[in-house]
Amino acid sequence: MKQQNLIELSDEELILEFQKNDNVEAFEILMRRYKNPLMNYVYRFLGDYEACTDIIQETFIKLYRYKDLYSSIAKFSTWIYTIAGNLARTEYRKRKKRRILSIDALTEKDEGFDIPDERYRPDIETDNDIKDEIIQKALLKVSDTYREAVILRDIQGMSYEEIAEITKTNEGTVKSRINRGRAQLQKLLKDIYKE
Amino acid sequence: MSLDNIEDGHEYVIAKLKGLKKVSAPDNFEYRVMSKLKSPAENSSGTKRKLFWGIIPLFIFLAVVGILLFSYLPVKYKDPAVQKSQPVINPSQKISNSLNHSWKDGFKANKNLIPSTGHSEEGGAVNKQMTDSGSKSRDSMINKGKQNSPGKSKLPKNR
Repeated sequence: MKQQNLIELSDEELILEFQKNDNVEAFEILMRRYKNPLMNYVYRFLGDYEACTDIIQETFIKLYRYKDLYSSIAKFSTWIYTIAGNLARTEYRKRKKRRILSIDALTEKDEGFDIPDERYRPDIETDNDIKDEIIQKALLKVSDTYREAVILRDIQGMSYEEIAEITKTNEGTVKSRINRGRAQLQKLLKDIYKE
Repeated sequence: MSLDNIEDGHEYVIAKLKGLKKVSAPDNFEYRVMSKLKSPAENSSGTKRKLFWGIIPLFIFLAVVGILLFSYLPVKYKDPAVQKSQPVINPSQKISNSLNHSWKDGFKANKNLIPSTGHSEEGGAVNKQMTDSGSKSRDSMINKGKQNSPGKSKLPKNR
């Protein structure tokens, strides 16, 4: 199939084309379509641009290798968001453990620690928007389950049904998570603005 | 919209989140992904993984076959009832018995080295041969004596 015709295809048709004919061009179009929304989702969840880039790369590598695992019953977007979300959650847990360990080491040895390199933070690097930074910092303080739901709903603009599918929960749980996440964020922002 | 009111606060939060700057992937993102997919290291790790997961069922199958072989291996059957019926031997007696046995065994083994006393079949044959030759010489001696003895021959027969 020609490149021009492939662009007009839906996500589901593209993945089918990639599955059946091993058409790498279809994969590349999917990558172009989803790289930025996924980057946005994972960056808001982790708050680290470099780690986020690695996770999205890994997501597309997984998509390439395990393309046959996709079944046409599910929506392609929810499938790829699930892969990225799982990888992001794994990375977040690793970082949490590392942080606990480094804090333990710090209290035991009383040594200094490496200051994280924030040169790649896009919000600081490009427009230096302080408000964005404040909101991002507040968002990172929200518990991870609520944060994920809030990002998918309010930043990515997904439906409750899609979020439920990505997070493997029911719609009721999703709604309550979003509500609680918003409430936490509201409280955090209120405290920040008071200061 | 204020942060004090719950409803308004939620609206405020949603508006703030929607207004966040969109983060985009680096320019060379696609190239990085494609080069990673084409790199031999990535591919070899993939094939290694496939090989590893392919070997596991084979290993399980071989293990099961091995266990079955061991469990159904033909072994010489020993009747436990026979073992129980054996008499209980006093340890000291056992030692003496074993000593006796060893002596007897040694004797049996060295039996061929001991010279024959005529009890054996071979020895019996030799002995018979010897007795035959002995009896013959004895007869010839008697005959000679009969001929040479003057007293006996001089005695009148009809006396």
